[in-house]
Amino acid sequence: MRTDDLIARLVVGAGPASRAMAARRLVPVIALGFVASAALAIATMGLVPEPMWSHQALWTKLGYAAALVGACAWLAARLARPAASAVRPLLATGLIVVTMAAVGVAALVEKESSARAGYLLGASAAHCPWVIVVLSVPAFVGITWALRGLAPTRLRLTGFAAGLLAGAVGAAGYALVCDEVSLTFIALWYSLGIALTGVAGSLLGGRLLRW
Amino acid sequence: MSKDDFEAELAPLWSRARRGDEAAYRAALTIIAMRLRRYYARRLASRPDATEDLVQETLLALHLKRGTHDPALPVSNWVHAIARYKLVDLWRSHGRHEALHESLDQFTKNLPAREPEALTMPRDMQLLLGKLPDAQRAAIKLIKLEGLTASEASRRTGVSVSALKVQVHRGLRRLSDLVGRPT
Repeated sequence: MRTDDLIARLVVGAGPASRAMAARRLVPVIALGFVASAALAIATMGLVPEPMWSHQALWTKLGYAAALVGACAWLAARLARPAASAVRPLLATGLIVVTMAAVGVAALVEKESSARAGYLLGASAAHCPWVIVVLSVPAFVGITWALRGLAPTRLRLTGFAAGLLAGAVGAAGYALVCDEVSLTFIALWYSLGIALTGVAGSLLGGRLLRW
Repeated sequence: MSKDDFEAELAPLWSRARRGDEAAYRAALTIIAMRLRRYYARRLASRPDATEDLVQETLLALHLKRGTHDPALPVSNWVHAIARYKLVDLWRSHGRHEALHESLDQFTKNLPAREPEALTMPRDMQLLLGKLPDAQRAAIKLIKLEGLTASEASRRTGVSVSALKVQVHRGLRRLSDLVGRPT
């Protein structure tokens, strides 16, 4: 086909450019990913016992995950726009992680030194990050689909953002079944699970996000 | 056309096209296609056959992804980012399928470097000449590039002197239309 003919075909009935393309694609897959990870977690591990709902740890987990979902969705949306700068969402994401780490360290320092190891490791440190990785898979699939319909040009970095975002969604789902009450535990092991999905995302990004 | 000229020419058309003005959209895509052709011809000098394919693929991508342009950013930056992405993507898949000897690192390291104008001139010229009808191309080659007089060229080709002059005139006009300069 000649290029002029191609242009003529593209132009006919093109209509106005779609607006808020990133939000329209990302928001539904994030919501679906959360529902899927929450359902999977509750079905396999059971909802937290009633008293947890009035404990600050549960709301810290959900708040931390929600803040990261917001920042990482912003980051992914910026990276999916060619030529747009992603510096501010990167800083926002870093700030949230650093804040949570500071909260975790502060809570640990308050403890008696004999109680610190237990406060740090809880009862589930060994599997918490891996469960978060597994629970992030549905969100990661959806987010990858959403980003392929946009235009990411830095695939590894975008894959990293997609992984962090999916990891944060998976962490929110895990918060509903996790009965750890330590803030230090959240700061370390939740962050580690989310970081692992980020790394996995950046390794897969170059292949999965091509368009 | 410099980058700023490109932006100045494209931006008003693009903002009208965003609101659904098809004539403006057509004009914008036409300008972009010329820009892309030069951008790719220079970087794919060893594979001129790939140039037009890549121009078309990029135009299609720009069309499908035009909702990803942030109106707060210059549209030329957006076009260039996508053009560069499609070029790197071609190199990457080319390397994978046809096992080129050059590594991707080699390619990306060389990416921003421009070839000297003097070297790319003949390539551009050939591309442009390739778009002319045979008679016009032959006449321009003989008289303007090889430097024959009209009568020598006439003797060599068997075409009359006046017909050759007409072909040269038409061909040159067409060339200047192709490069987008007023005659």
